[in-house]
Amino acid sequence: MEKIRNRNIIILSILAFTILSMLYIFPVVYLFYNSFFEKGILGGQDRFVGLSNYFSILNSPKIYQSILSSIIFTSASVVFQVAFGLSFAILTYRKFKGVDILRWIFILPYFLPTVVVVIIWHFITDPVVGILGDFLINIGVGPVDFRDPSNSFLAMLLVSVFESFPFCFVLILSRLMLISNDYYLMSMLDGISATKTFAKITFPEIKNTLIILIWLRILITGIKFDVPYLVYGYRGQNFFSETIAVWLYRISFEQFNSGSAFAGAMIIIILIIIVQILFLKIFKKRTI
Amino acid sequence: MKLWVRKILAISFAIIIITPLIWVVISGLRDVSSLLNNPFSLDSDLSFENLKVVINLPDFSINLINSILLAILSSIIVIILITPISYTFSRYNFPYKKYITTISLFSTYLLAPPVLIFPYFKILSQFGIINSILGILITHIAFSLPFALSIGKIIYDSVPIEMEKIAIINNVNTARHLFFKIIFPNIKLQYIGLFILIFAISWKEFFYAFIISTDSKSGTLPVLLGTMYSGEYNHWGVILACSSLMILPALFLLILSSRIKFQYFLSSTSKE
Repeated sequence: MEKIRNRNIIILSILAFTILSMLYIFPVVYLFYNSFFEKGILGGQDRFVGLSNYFSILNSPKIYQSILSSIIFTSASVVFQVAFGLSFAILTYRKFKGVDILRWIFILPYFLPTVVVVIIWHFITDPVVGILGDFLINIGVGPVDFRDPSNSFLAMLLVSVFESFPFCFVLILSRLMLISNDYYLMSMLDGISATKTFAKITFPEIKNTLIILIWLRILITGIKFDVPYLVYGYRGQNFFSETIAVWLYRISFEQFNSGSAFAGAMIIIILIIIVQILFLKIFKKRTI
Repeated sequence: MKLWVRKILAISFAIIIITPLIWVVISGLRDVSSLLNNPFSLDSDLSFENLKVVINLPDFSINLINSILLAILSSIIVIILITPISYTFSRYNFPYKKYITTISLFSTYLLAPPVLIFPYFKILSQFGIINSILGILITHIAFSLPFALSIGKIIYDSVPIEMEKIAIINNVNTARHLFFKIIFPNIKLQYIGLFILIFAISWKEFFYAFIISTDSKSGTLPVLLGTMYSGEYNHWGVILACSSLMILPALFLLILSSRIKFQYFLSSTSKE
């Protein structure tokens, strides 16, 4: 039996490593290698240009602007995602009749493509046909054009929060349900107020999960393409919708400047890894 | 917070979330002229004109088949791939395990699609499978594999190792027997949750499909809807009908939810 097991370990580890390296490590090495080349014109040979792709990327103001708009969008969006996820989880982590269906409703937006979420909110706030459109005019906001560049930030926020709070909800809920009910019973018997129970029992238990969740959401939202592109990016350029992902898309698939795009992608990977290492240093003691 | 306050708040939030979805589905099933003239009257008769237009779009049926095929294939392949790998991660020690685990668990988040698309696009076009469902399938697998792997590891961590030891003492001596008769029955429901998750990831994925399918024949439904919405074709009725077709699977989950207890779904996604 031990023999079978040892053989299996070797086979399975090799399998695991092969698949992972084929899907992730090899493409990154390939990306790194190609970032030193300039694409040949009309199918010609690629030309080695050294670091000049990197210099041209770092010299253009667009990269700093897109990093800035990514940071603004990400920080605003993550705050609301986590806040909504947390509050829905707190509302439904105790059992009552029909709680299952409520939980399913709270994760429902997770199963919708971003395009559909964009269309839903565009349609809802439309001044002519939407249910919220009339309401917004009546309370004095005026007719809202979802595609207006001045609304792009709010629209992006709305769409990204609506499509990603379910992720936060599920993670927080699963952690909340692990807390033993005895704690709550004890605090109830001792007559401790609900606010204090939350601060002293619930919050310390979910703190680590919240930190990791916020971290994951920052990484995921920060480099999201479909929200900024489908809300405004396809129509033109706008400060808020030109995030890192949209910018990379533009230089590669609209301007066909693949050398610069490769260098830009490499810079983004390095940035993410640096921030990741910083995070691991700061929160070293916490387990994942 | 009192329980009834919780209940009322939860129910009202749920209504706020579900109303837009149902509103869009209903609007997609209505006549355009009545939708534009009188959006709030619900008594106007349902018409399936828009649905018919959507279904008769030249690319709709092929994109629908692409979407379903991609979602099913990628979830099956990912589940087959992660089963041995996550079992290994969960049970055995091997050289550099820590690094391999970290890389595999974080690679989705470290190497996001907008970055990975460049090498993938170049490699796939060298193999000549750009613009085909096979190319999209590979990227979808790469996209959901790390996520599925981290969940798979959690699932196997939840199976006590004592159970396997007892089985081995009791003369279960092939790996296949051990897996299918002893381990798998315990994690069946978590696997259903995992399947739904991977299916959803592939079903709603936009970016890879959008880049890799340059002609409309190889696209998926989100790409079709995205190009329809962002293009010149601004016909609310048709767009809404198409969106309501994409909302329906999610609503279908609600109906299924009486069968799949939320608990199992949760245990398949729990991070601890």
